[in-house]
Amino acid sequence: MTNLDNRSLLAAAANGDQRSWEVLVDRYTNLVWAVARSFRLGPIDAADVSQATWLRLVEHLDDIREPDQLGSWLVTTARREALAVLRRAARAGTPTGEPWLLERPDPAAESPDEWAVRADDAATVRRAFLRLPVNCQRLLHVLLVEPAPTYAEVGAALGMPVGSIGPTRARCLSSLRRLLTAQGAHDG
Amino acid sequence: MVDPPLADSTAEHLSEVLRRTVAERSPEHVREAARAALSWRDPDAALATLVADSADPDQQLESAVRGGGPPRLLAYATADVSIDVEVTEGPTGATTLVGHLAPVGSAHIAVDHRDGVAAATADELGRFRVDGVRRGPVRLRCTLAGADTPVHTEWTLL
Repeated sequence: MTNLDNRSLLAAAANGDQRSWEVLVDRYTNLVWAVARSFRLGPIDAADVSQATWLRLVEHLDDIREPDQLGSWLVTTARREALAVLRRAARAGTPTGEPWLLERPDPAAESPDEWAVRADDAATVRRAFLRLPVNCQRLLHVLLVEPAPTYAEVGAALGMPVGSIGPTRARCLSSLRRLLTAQGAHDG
Repeated sequence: MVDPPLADSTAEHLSEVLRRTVAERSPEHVREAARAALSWRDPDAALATLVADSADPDQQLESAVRGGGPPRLLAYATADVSIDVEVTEGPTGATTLVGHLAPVGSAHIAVDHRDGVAAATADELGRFRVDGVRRGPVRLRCTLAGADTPVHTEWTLL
């Protein structure tokens, strides 16, 4: 069932098939979450944006016109909800942003495999990442989602033309490498 | 001190390191809530879409300029029914919804929110007030007296 296409899963979910719905959720939950978090929403706001996005899909199960583009539909919805949260918070004068990557448990410690990153390297990379321009942080954050989003989905998530994603990614990684080099020289 | 290979690594290697250090997965409770969302589906209800929202930048109302958290005004409509709602923030994250239905008439109102359901009754003039609505995704389910089909508003993030 996990191989079924979006069209079949949407149709089954519209008929109340819970299992099909869960396959859709599992396919896109990380992406929807990453979009919300890429706006630096805290965990509660990000959870609300995520849930509002899925509830909106439940409302529109019957009228998703391009099932192949469901990922783009979801990230566009999440993006709109996230921006609305930021706007309301700005108006009310309540802070939403938080140092989104700093207080997290060290994920490097959770992946004891051949790719495991040494803890001090992880801290170094994270520090360099946070010094990147915000647009770079957001782009890389969304590109890192598993399963990997399509460029159409990334473009929809960030409101940027698909053609500029590849070059921007390369530029952001170069900046990151420069920051790492500079940090290395400084730390050394 | 950074390993030289980290600063000199290829884009692919750097991406993989980022994936191990920066990428996030959606928390389990978020995934579970999303999985449970299908149970909210009711294809028989009429969907009242959000037609006006004072928090929308395209609909800047005079009150928005004043700042200091003016009540948010929401308007929903189907072809037959309109529902206007004023959202007042309480001190503890709970909100109060004060609203009005048209055409006027009594109705049962249920508000779905993160922590459950808050219920109220609209009087014969279509007025209602619902307390204890948690911030987060919210929708109203309105069963109008004498009507066959319930009216559900779109889910809206308060």
